[in-house]
Amino acid sequence: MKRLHPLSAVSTSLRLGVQIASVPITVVMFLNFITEIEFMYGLYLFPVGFVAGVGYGIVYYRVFRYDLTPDTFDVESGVINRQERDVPYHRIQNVDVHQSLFHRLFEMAVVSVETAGGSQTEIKLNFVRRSEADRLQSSIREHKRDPTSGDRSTTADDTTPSSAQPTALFELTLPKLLVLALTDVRVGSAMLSAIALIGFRSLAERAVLSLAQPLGGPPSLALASLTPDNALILSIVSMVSACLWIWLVNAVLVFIGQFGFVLGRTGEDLLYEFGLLNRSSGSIPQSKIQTLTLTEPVLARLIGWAGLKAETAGYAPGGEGRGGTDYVVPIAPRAQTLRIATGIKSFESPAVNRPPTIARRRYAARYSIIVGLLTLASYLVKTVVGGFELWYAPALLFVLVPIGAHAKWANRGYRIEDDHIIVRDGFWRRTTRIVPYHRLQTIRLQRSVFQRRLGLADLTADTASSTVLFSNDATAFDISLADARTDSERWREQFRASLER
Amino acid sequence: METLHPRIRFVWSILSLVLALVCGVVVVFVDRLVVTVGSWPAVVVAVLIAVAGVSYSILRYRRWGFALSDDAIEFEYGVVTIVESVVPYVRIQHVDTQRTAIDRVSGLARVVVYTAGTRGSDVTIPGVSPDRARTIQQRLRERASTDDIDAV
Repeated sequence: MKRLHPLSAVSTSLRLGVQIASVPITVVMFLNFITEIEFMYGLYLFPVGFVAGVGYGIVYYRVFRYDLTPDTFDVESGVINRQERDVPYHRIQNVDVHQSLFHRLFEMAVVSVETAGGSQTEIKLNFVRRSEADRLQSSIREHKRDPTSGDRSTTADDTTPSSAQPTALFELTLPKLLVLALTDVRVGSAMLSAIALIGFRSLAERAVLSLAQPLGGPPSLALASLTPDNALILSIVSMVSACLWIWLVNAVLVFIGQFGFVLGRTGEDLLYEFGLLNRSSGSIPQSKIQTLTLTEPVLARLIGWAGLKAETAGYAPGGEGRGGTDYVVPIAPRAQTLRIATGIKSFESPAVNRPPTIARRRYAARYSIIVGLLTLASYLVKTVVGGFELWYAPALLFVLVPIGAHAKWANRGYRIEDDHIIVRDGFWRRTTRIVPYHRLQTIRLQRSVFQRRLGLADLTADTASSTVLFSNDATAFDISLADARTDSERWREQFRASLER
Repeated sequence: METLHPRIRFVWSILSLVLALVCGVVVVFVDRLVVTVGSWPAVVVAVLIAVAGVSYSILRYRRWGFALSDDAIEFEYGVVTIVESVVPYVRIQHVDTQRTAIDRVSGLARVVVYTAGTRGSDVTIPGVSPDRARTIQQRLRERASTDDIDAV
């Protein structure tokens, strides 16, 4: 059995020391508020907590052991509750190696081993030498491929994995990285953009005010100078500038996060690596891929570029704090992305058939109702507050209703193939998912009250994927009920057939 | 399609009557403590919720069906949104029979079927007799284990 790197004992015990020591301080600080207790007691307790934390960290390091046996990856751990975990190689979905800036300084890395199911990483080695991490990654890969080659790579000094250098499949060059930074806008960036503004609140306020003023905005944020009209203009201007700010911050984040992305292949496995400050690498066994997803954010679509993601049943690669960066190709001209995609799983084209046009009417009706309610609300504000000349402004959104309805309709679609299903959805971030029949978990046909009236239905192919949050099962939205019925039968038959293959 | 145990209608109806009563009491409290609205809104709210709840319970019972076919277990349920789902036996990870407090009082049980899929892929058959729940679990266990295929 092997241990983690000694440096990990240092870092873990320091971290735990500070963490545990800060507990009594917080408690005393809280008690200080409600009772007469001296704040100094907290400081006296600090060394006690620190020593306890350091002790725990050292013991944790001393009892943590791992080893590669001929057919399992074994880990023993736990200071108070002992745990022995043996994970069979064939159950391992992916192996990730992550290096933060600190780890890179000392040539260290964190290894995460994922299996299907569970909301947590199955095994986490925090942390080992980088070379050891690479050795583990490639040994596990080899064991998976060839279960008999067991004992060879279990010896500790086997630092030269016998697998060949990976063949390069894709590299995110600087121009591509720039395109990615400008087109791949993520929801998560909004939070960070807000945090980035904290120090500059008054500056941001002044900037927005001066932008809004020529358009009829208020002279200041004081309640007295606000009228419903100039408040409306101000909020529109601030929304637009917030979008631009988020776009900018997002571009920087994406640039740093995806810098130097490379994709390669060793035998059956896809290997990727990315990051400017933190460096991450992961391996995806091709046989474990559940679905492939073509991602086309609206801006990328305009210039005909697309990205590619591969989903396994393991905890999503990059799921922990790396924001779902499970790209196989972050972005490339569509043709190149498709070439790589068809190399992973053969399919002819990602083309789909749009839903019946009656679905578009449904979206138009839905948006009209929303705009109508907004206008009504604005009218009510006018009658209650008074002096609201621009109350009809929300009604201008009616112009966008047909455009929005068409955009939603046109980007949705679905097609059935011999061994897989293709579904497409989304205007802002269009995703086209390719779901092989043998990956189906359940088939679900769903009809809401509104759909029943129009004879439409949603048909969902559920797969064993791990992204619980923002999970989008492959759903063919608003297809005709008759099609949904026959197709669900067909999926079922194809699934049965795929098991016999 | 097999239906649920008819008694579940009464269980669901009684639950919605309790909800109606609670809402009525809340309105009474609002009337006494916050704004005086008179006593009839409480009655109206309670009656409306009771009528809606009972008819929902009956519709829900009528819609609910499941069938153990050759290769999969099929479900159909839902009042506002009708869901028809198919779970192949080979995809079943495990099957639970559960009895909540209310189930035990009413002499019913439920069967929960788990798969490795994501959202909404775990299906619960509410309101079957305990014996039936056990036989369903038994049958599913036999079916699920006959195939030596990974469920992922």
